Amino acid sequence: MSERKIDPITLEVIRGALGSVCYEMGLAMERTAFSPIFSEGLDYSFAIFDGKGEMVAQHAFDPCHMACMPFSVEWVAEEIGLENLEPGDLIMHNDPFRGGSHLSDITMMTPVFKDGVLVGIPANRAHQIDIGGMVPGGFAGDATEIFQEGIRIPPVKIVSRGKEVKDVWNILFANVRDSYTMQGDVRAMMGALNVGKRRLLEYTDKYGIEIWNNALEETKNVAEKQMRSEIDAIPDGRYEYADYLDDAGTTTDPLKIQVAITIRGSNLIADFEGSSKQCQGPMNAPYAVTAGNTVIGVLHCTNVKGNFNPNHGCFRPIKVLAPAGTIVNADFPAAVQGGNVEISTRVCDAVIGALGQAVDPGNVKAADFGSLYSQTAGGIHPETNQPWVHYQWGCGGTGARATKDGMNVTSPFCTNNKNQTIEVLETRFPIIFEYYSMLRDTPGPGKWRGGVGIGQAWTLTADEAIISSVGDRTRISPYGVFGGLPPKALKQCGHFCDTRIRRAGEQEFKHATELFEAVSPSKWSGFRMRKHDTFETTTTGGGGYGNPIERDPELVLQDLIDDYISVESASDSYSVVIDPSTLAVNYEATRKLRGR
Amino acid sequence: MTCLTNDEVRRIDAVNLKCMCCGKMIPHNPIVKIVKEKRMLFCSEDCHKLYLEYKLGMTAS
Repeated sequence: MSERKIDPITLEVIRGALGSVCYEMGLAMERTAFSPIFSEGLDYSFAIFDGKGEMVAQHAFDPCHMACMPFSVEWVAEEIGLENLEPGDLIMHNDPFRGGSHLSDITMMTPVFKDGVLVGIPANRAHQIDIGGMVPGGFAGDATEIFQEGIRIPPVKIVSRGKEVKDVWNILFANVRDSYTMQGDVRAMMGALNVGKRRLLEYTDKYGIEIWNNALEETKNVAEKQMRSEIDAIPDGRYEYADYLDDAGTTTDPLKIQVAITIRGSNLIADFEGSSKQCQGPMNAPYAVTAGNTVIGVLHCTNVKGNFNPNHGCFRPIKVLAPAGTIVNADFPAAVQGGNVEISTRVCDAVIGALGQAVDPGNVKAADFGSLYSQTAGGIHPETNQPWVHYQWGCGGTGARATKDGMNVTSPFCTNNKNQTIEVLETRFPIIFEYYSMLRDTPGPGKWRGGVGIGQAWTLTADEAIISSVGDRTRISPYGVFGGLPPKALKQCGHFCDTRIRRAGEQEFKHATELFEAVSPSKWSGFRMRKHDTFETTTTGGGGYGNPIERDPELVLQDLIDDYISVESASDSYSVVIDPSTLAVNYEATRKLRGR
Repeated sequence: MTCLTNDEVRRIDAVNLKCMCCGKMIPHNPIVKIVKEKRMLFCSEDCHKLYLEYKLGMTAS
């Protein structure tokens, strides 16, 4: 690290401003995008890169996006060349084999020049509602190569010197189903970047190029210093962990994520040797997803909270080794759509499982419900006669923490998206929700219990729609820690997370494996729903932290009152006896049961 | 040491030119080293050193 060339107060002001600009760009996106996945779900992220193409700032959007974005910018720098960027350019890029994550995630960036000097690159990544491919929404659970998943865009200028490159726009929007909505979303991404560009120019006007560039350099050094300090506090050694995904979508065998983390002073090596070979289905991750989510997992096990800017500097002490041809570093032309939504979460789970053996137990948490459970639907809207595409992710219970229960009905911590409001979804799409509620007995028991999972079901009001699913944690549960337990499988379906379909006029929901020739109950595509068919998704809770019989009986009672658990679970999992008629804890019976 | 040109790298894109150590696709001229009589590609000198030390237990010269 070089000697500091900027005073700490100016540095802190500029560092704060960088984060604020990212946040403001995000607000602009939220208020102008067309799709509910953006305006409601916030499935996008913003960051700022410096003139070298290194990330200097981000805001609390989707960690999974932001940890991977530097790899995309690196490829833009290589293929287009930072020296070839001009004022008014706007680059688009989504190729997972060039630093991207999956095809749905489009990254856009625009260079900002001050007196001819490249002083910053505001960038964003946003999950498009459709990107072409074999099914609406892009989540084909049985895809076997990337060409089935949508259009692959290498780094290209979609705006050159302020003028839209119409040929590129025409190719792109001819290959997606709902081009009207997507154009609105892409223009929202562009508009938000313009907000960032405007702010960066204001700051460089105020501080001048030299101070500005020194501040950007130093903010990376500060992050590196903080990260090294955290890693240095972990005892040197090798810590291993393995977690599993249910299946590949095209076969039923589980997939293994194996990680060995080696700490050498202030350096950390995460080695994924021993992970499953690349699979035929879409459960493959490109290198950027594995590397990015490793950093997220490491960050989670440290004390760098609050005033920490996770930029390029915090990547420097971490080396991620992901063998080529495995599910954590798939070779072209593998299908990879599930990598960014499922393998990402499991990489985090595995990294936390490994580091959890070495770090302060206060920085460890149990596993989240562990699946985005992406469901997509699309067709022709009966009221407008226009294409519609709906993407909904499953929120569930997060893992319990050292001093708190897990959070209820939240997306996995490496994605940080919001639930989409169902009233908005009903307004936009030909669907109506039958129910949407937290599910009893889904939290993993513990001294601190996991968060609560959710169930939801919507009924189709159009004549027809094509639905697809990419999910996981159906057959293999999330883990508990320090004596905490995993959640139990749902009684109604025998799975943890799940999707089922009920045909119009029938009483029972059925799995895709029962209804048609799906190999996996959680990963399938192209099922043709008919009017009044109902699509149900359920998610499990997070794992528990600590021995369940150490949980305060009054907290168990409150869980019962809140309908998070049943009387049977209070007794079986927590050894707390509650009289359901009076809703009072029987302390004598509880003491006997717990002393047993 | 020899290097592929950028154009050559891009042509190899379809067959996955990846670093022998970390596995990352190499977006620039790879570093070619002879390790145990085999030609191996690395994304950086750091990765070459790490491969020798961490993977093979050798001391990098």
